[in-house]
Amino acid sequence: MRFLLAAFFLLLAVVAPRAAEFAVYDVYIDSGTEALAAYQLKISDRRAAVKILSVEGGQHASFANAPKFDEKAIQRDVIKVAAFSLAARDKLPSGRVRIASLHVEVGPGLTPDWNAIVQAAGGPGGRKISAEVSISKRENQ
Amino acid sequence: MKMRYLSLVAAASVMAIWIGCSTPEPRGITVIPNRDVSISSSANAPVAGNALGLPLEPAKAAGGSTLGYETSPLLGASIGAPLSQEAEVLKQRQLDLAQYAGEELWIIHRSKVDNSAASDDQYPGTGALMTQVDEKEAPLPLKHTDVKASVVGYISTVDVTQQFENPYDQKIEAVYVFPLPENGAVNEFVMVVGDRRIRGIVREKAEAERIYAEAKHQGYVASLLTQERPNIFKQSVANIEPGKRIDISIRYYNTLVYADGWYEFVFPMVVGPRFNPPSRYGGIGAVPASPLASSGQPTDVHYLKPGTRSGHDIALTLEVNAGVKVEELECRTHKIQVQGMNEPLGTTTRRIDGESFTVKIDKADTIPNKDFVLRFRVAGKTMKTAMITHEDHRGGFFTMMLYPPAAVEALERAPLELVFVLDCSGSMSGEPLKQAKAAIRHALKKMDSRDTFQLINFSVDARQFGREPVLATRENITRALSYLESLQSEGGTMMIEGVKAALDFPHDDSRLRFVCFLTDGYIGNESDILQAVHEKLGDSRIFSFGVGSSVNRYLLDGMARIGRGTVAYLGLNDDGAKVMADFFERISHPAFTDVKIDWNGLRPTDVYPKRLPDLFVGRPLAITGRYTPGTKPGVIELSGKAGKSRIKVPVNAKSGSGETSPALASIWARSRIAELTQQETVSRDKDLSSQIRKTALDFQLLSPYTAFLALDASRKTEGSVATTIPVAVPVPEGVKYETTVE
Repeated sequence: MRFLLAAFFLLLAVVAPRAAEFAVYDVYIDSGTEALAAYQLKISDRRAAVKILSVEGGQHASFANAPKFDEKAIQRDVIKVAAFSLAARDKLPSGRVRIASLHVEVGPGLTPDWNAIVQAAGGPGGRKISAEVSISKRENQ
Repeated sequence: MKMRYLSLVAAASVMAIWIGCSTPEPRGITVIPNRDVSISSSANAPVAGNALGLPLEPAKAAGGSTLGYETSPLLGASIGAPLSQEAEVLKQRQLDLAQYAGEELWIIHRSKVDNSAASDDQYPGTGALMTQVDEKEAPLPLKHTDVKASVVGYISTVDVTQQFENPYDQKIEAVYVFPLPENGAVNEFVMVVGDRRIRGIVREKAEAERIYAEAKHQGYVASLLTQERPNIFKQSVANIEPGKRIDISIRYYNTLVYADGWYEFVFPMVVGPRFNPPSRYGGIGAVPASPLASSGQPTDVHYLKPGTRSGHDIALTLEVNAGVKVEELECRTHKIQVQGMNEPLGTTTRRIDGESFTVKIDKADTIPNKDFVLRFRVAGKTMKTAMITHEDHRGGFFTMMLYPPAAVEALERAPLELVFVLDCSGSMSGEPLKQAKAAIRHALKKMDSRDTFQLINFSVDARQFGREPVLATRENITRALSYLESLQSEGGTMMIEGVKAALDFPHDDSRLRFVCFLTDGYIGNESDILQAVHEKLGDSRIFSFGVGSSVNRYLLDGMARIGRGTVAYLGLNDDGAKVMADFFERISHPAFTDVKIDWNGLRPTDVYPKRLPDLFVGRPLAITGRYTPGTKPGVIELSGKAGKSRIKVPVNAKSGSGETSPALASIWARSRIAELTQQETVSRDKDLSSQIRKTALDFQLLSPYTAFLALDASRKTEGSVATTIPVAVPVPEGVKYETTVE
């Protein structure tokens, strides 16, 4: 009888649907020594493992507001965001800065494989600059 | 023996499932290692558009595909489901709820008979945050609402911030049912946690509800905004920890109403208590302030007992830039401060100079228990700019005001058959009924002796003054005035009886039949009424009058729209005689009918309203549509019938001094949703719901089938499951708690 019950619970544990996981992925832009005045980002998950639920603003005051996103892309869980700041050059961020965070639901047992494209501009004139984007999972507190 | 084993296994299964469902801890968490990606872009890569504005490219690449994993079934059923589906919906909701944490089940399944036992003791421990003032103060999680509105021309942008704070010693979920204008396009939703701003995303309603329930269950701070009616919304905020504050910011756009020479800005503050006919499911219930109280309807509004306050107050600032000289402003609902004037403005009218002004609600008038209504009159009879346009990556959008041609004012009307339908239900008791009677008294005295009239009153059933409409002779009017005075208010609001009595009798072909409904519209079955009006209207026209401090504008506007008439509002401080005088001015001339527009090269698509209604003197119509960028006309032509002749008038549709407003895209999409929703109430076409859903998702708008969800996945709150606390609200000013709350 005990064996039967144990086997039943084991079977239940295997077949029972696992809860989805919620996670935050921080999006960083590294503009090196250039001041970051504007950016446009397109982020998607190659594995289609995530549903993007919310978008949070960045850590720097110039990009603290939660950025607006493209309405059509978000329906495919692809996020296209853009933001700009008209602040003076010395008030703009440079180096590696978190410019947004994505709050997502990750499918059970899945790991996202992010693909990101960034276009950036520096200084008040809107000159194109080189920039790198990186995305990392934030540890749950 | 075999049976015993089977029973044991079944029992164990049930236990295992029950444990799995009720545990507050997340199930089956998979650890996903950190994974960084790093992608570079070169300075030589093409940057789309203006580098500073960085407009987004049109969505083309399908980098992501639709997600494959399954979602749980519905937590909430769609509102307004057809009658035949009600039982199924209810059953489905109960089954679905069983999958979630047990703390919600006792609320949903509770019998309504226990409401009398509801008391403040049913709230969690309150610590020291409860304070005593003149009235008893109930500690509730909604502390303050801040409204910042701006009007440019006749387009308003309104930012509403709701400040939730947990005054208890346990974690809570706050649920607040609140009103917004029925034509408001809600398209921004930001949750503020500390100094972090988290922007919510619109998803299909069932999916958003599933994710919210799961996030709540796992202990994350999350918020969900759903539309219960076009003018009633439900805000849920999960896992607010003791002493913590979470703000929700909502932005909506809408167009102002222009009537009888005045623009009107309205901000509703409280949902009036709705009556639901027996055995009707799908409405909005009205119950006492208690987490245990339930009407059995899918959504309940909890009301504070008389003499109790919640501590929730409201601040409202309105900036108006009319674009033309403003001559007068008035606010009959609230004391306001006008910038540059030292004294609060009560219910008087003030002359002002200039094109713009700023007003605030006075600090002495911050209880959110009535609609805020501010009217301003501009110089001239029409607006400076007929058309406002906006172009972006989605195309061109426009809105414009159509005025009836001046020639209509020179024509006399035909004899009328006026039917007054007075709501005498419990919610109208006191001031609202007094105001409505005063308005009808005035109307009866203004009638022409060629006219006929009927007086119908309804509550649980309908009664009428005469067996059929009678001539408006002095004797008949005296008798009718006496009948009117004898009417008392009591009982439920079986409005369908009033609609049947008003529309189900033979029409006198020699007269135009105008049916005037005077009601607060406090019913939960709006779709039944709108459908009945649609089916029974015939040659009648409906003019609805909303009576009270916080009326159901969605219903009243809808009845007038379907009834090819107009709507007017009679607040508790308004002059009933003036409202009726304006009405008689409107109907003293024939309507401008069979309206058509020659767009003169604009080639608009999707113009709403789809079928142009008749235009009445003093009541222009706002229309909205899409067009191909670069095809703006200078002049369009409006044609229609005035009396027996057909006339054409040119309308200057040149977009003023380059005026543009990004709000127009949202306003257009909201108008489309409203039109499709109206069609849905009278049609069984299933394609309508998918069209509504698609429009709402494409423009990130709330609708019956979509919801805003915001989630803070950065940390899990401590403690077990959150207790659900409904935010109780006062009954609207002038409405009696005893006659309206179950």
